[in-house]
Amino acid sequence: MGDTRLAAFAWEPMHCAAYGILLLPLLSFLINGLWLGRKSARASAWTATVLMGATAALSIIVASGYRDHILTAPHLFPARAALAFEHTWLDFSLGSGAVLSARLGFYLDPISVMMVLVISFISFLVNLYSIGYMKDDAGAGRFFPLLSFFSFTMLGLVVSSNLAQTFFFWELVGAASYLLIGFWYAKPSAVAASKKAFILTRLADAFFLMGLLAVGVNAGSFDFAHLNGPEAAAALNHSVGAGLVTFNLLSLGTLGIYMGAWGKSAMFPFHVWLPDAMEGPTPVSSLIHSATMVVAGVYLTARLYPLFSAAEYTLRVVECTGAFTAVFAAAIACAQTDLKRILAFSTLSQLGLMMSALGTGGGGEPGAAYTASMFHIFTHAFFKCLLFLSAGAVIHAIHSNDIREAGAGGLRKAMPRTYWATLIAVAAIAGIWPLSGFFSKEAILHAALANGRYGALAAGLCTGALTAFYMARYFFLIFHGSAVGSRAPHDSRATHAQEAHPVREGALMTLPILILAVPSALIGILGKGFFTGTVRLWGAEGGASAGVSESALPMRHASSGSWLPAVATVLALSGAGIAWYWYAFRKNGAAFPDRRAPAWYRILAEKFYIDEIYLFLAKRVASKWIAAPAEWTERNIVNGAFDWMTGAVKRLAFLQSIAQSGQVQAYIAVALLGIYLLFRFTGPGY
Amino acid sequence: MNVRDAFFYALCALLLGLAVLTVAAGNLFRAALALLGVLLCTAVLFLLLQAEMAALAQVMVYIGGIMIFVLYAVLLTSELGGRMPAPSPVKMLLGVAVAAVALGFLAGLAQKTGAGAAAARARMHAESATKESAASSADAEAGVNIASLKTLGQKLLDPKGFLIPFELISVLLLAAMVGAIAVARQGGAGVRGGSEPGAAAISVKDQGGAGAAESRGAPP
Amino acid sequence: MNLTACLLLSAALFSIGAYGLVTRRNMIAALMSLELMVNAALINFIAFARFGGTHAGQGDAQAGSLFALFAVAVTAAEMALALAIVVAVHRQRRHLDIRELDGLHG
Repeated sequence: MGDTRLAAFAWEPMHCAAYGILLLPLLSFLINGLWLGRKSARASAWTATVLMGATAALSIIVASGYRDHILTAPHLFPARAALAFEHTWLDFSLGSGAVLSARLGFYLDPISVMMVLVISFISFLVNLYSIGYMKDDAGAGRFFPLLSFFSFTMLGLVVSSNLAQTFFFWELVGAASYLLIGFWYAKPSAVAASKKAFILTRLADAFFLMGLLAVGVNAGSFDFAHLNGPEAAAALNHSVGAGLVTFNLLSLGTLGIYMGAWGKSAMFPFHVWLPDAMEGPTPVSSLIHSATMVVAGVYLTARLYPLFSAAEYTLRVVECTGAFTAVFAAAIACAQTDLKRILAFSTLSQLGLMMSALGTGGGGEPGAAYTASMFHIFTHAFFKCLLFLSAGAVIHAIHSNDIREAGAGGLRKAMPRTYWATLIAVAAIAGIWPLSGFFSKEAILHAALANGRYGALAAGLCTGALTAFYMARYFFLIFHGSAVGSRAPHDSRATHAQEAHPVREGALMTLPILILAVPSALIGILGKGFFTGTVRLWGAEGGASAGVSESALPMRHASSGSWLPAVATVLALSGAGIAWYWYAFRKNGAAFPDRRAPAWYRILAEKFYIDEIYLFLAKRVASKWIAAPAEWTERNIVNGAFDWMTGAVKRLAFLQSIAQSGQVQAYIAVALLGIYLLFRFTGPGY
Repeated sequence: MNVRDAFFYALCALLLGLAVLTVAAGNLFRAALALLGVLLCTAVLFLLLQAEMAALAQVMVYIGGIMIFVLYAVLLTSELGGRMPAPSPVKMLLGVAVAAVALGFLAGLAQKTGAGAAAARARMHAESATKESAASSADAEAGVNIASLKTLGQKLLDPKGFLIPFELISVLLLAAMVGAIAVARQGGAGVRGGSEPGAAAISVKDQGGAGAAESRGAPP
Repeated sequence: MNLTACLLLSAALFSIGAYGLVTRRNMIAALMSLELMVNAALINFIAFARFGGTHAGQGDAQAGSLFALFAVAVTAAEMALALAIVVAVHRQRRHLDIRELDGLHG
């Protein structure tokens, strides 16, 4: 593509709408946070929802403007990207006349427009849902401004025109998630979870910052339009360091940036924060998992995809972490009993799938990989949001997170709409034709196959089977699991609570669920053509622009992988069938993690003891061998030296203060003698 | 040594004796009276040195004004018959050292200056002898008073002379008067706090206001 | 009676005053010692006005007298303030012992 200067695009309604998309959620945050939230929680809830709805409408304007004016514009063809607006914020001189600019812009390209649509739409529905969900919460006036802020930061992130803006909003997303995960700040577990999320992602962000500085300074620009061009990759592709320690700057920089995505998207070693983030209110979990926060990592990787695809080593890391996390998290999800934790691990697994899809792009078909990953982000946002909102409705009804208690209540009869919505979402995530998940998963598997990444392909198939199993288990335990539930120790309490609060599906909470069920079911079929026809091309150009692949990128899966959908479907159905046999047909609950459970099951239920290993590392190893000696040094050597110095100064000062006796006559005597000496030695000729 | 010289030396002896009494007297009132004597002797010395104006000022301002003030302060603050404690040996040693150094230095200076002035005068005499134009110097030598009251008064009010310092002195005196009243008044009433402007002028330990200071009682 | 004699008298008076200023414990007594020192300075003024200095022998009798006059006025101002402070200190502390007035003690 070569041309790194983006055309400034001026179709007036879209220009205004772009500003509105960023300003309306911010406005909602400010109005509700500073004023309305304290006055009336209800008014602030509706204000936030209406403003978010307006944002969604504006995003449709932007999307249609993009489709009509940019997608088809011949002069914009290679990049298919434009800027709705861009303002320079800070300029840094790099010496020799080069200037590194941090700008605030609104970048329009296929994936940013898609993400704006998804985020605003889902935020709106979550807001609507929260009106009912947070009705009885004392902190509701605090909740809605934060929710708006969360949406604002994520919108700002996806429309970033450059890495500096991305980083800015990236950190704001982290801060917003910290505030929302720890929303119930009186709960120690919520506070701990929010701290965990913040600190872990901060740790990763430190690498992100290093990476973006290395890339930005050496490529001479933060702008995506420049970084994704061939000049940037060429400028970065050289070794730095000396002697044995040399790095390829391109690999190092992209790896640093990927570390940020690694943490934000909770890939394997950083994954521990995401399940704990369930301590927040369910609408927050739903936002975090579907449209904001965790997909930011995948999005960032996709945003810099042409640059990444020039860095073979980084892509390999992306692929491996993604594939491993996908299988690892899916296995853990099979043994969890907390509703929201199951969903959390399923998100981890799906994110791993998206990452591994991006990573397979190194095999020569970057376009297919990129397209598949973005397609899956798109469909996943809808059915995961739907899953969480339905789970929230269930939790709201039974006042418990435990899947064994949910099974006791006969919720199938009491909440028919939630039942059907959950069924659709479960089938979608399991990849059952013709629901949305089927198509996006198939695209990912095809991408792996087309790129010759058989490891990632196997991981994808395995994840698909496991996903079908644990989602079916989830579904059957909640809605068909009466015999199992009666064994649960909290059963009596749950039943009691249920009697006190008869199960009821509030209209405000059901409406978003029903709305979401439609795209969860249909977006696959409808989006298939759109994504394969358009996004594939964008991805292809992204790859070509980085000089990785100059060849045309035909849809090879049609010829070589026709067996894939059949295999995937068989695997998914068999996984679901096993779950049905165990949890719905036999209803014996043999696989619950009680004393009779086999060892491997306990390991899964305890999430491979990763948290425990971290605690051990932090408390025993880091604390004993690093922190304790450091503390000793600090206390005895550093502080000792300073104490000695201050003591010496004090003693000197005391010596000097003896002269300051306060006796005026002594002062006079000294002054007179001083005058004498002055005259005696400096006087004129005496 | 003529009569004037003899009178001068007697006056000097008296002056120095009274000065010693001023700094050594055990009774404060007696010391004040000795100071009065010193000032009076100084005035006479000024007359002897043909400076009537200075002598008058000495008598009027010092003896008539300041000394009366000193006596008032003495009477207000101490028992008339009380004896002041003798200074400690250390302090006396310090005082003697200071005085000795000052005397030695100043006396040496006086000798040199006197000799220099005599030499300068001799030189001037020689010049006047050749040029026959040393009338004023001769007048001064002959005791003609050129610093009479009239000439001094004219000089004081002459814009090219000392008018500006003269006016400035009046401002200084006014400010001192106001300041003295403010300082002496604050703390006297006992009902006002230490927030008056004069409070900061007192560099003593307890500045927290008169009431607080008085309630604290005896000095530490 | 010459310049040297007057300057010597002044030096002696100044030394006596300095001794008193350093040794006297009573504030008023110390102030009186200060007066002695000022007087020594005044004597110097008048002596130089009468006899002239080392430079060209141009003793300006009028300027010397006027300087003495101004010095007297300044001293009057200083004494007025000093004695006001003495009275105020006495009112607060009920004593005038300089040794006890060590608020500047370090």
